[in-house]
Amino acid sequence: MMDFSGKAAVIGVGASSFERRPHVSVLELADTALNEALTDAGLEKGQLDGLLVQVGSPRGADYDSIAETLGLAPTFCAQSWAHGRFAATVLTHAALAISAGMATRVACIMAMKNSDIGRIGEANNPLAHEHFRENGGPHGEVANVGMCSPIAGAAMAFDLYCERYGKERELLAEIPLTFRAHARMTDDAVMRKPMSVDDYANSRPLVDPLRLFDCSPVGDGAVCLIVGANATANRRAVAITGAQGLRAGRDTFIFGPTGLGLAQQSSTRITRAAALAQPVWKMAASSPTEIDCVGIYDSFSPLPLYAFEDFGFCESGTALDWVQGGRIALGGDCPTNTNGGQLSHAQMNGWGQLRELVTQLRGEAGTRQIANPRRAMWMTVAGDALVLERN
Amino acid sequence: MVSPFDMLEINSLQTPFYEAAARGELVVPWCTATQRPFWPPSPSSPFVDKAEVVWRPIDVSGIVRAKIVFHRAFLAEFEHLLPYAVALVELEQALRLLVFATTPAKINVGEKVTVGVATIVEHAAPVPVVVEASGSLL
Repeated sequence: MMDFSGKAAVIGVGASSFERRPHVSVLELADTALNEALTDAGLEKGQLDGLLVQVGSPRGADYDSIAETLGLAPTFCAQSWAHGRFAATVLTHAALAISAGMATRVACIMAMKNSDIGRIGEANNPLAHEHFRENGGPHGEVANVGMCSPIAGAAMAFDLYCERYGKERELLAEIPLTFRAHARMTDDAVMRKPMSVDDYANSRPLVDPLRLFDCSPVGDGAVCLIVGANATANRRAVAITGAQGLRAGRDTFIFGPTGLGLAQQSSTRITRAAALAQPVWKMAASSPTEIDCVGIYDSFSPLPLYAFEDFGFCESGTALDWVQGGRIALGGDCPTNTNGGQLSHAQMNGWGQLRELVTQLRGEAGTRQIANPRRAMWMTVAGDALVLERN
Repeated sequence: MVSPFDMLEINSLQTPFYEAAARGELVVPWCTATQRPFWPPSPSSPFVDKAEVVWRPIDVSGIVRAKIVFHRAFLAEFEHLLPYAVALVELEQALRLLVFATTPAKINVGEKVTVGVATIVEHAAPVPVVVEASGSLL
């Protein structure tokens, strides 16, 4: 079982810039990211035989138009849906295809543009109909009771979390402030202005208990990661040694941990022992103390809390305290989203963090470089995870 | 622009809820094998394979477990209702519903509330709402 550990690696990374460019072609963004990744990997387009795409139309570029427009001729293609959450799953599929012999080099691309449309949740966003999706939207939306926009689900989960564990809401500031400090050290980060505790506390309330600075900004951009067979002699290749899929079902919620007691979830949270026995840890034969750098899905600032708990970095219900005091900052025990994450680097559905983990493991992160990292981890509240290792 | 509310049609899975709501009654699906209520609606029980489902009333007295307050209306239809709250209300057997509330200050986590059904957006179908003893929206 899961014998693809270490067989595939990220062998090239590339990205466009991330500023809001309403008039740019999303295919131009994809082209920039793909070409940069090819150059980084020392490959030519003809050497790619796989193409996996996330997001796609109407916000992004679809796999067929990417291949046709950019001159690719892949024979192993797939595309996940028009939201975030499948970044790690896309890389896992690439690793599986390579280890199964169905492809040799897979370009994994996420290219999207949001600045020319309304925010998700507004009527002029092409995904507005999802508010009214039968049995609820993808982030817990139930628009006919006014439960509109993804922030609503994130706000409800965080309110319930604070009530359940008796935690002070303002402790959350540590997360957006830490990631903003990281973004200030990252040249291509979108949000680089300093943010103080007062700036955060005074930011506009959108849906209590969450504020504007708890939300990732709308972004345009593309990221490409090329996955190929792992050649251990390639010192810049970053091996995929652990992987775990996204979960679904009545005990899950995309913006809250399992067992929080939201909607029809149980009220039984994961134990520390069960968290440390998650498949990703077994596959990578690793544990939180061996992780040098973390990437977490952070479209809203509470989300990292739940991932730290569900993967055993700390006990359920303790993450708001655990993240304090610089623990998740560069220089701390558990540096997280060292490029600024979605909250401050760019809202690229987690692809920016995956690129950053590769950059850190290669030792190419410049002023924000972690000392001699060996192992990095991607994880989300939705259950998907990756362990990446330097060769 | 056409309101998304105007494009909604009530389908077969939702009909029992809205027929009861038109009478002012809150009904939910129940699994006949376990006698447990559940939400959202499903044609078969989520608890026991292939177990039958019946729709019937549920005790409308519940406890607020969490609440959020909207300061921004993402859809124009809710603009005039700002600020409004959505409460996570726990009914019998831990069935939890998202319930609209007009007066956020009157909704407190841990307190008991009564859930009714009412129309909050003109021409739209009725939804679960927090109500006062008199039956008016809270």
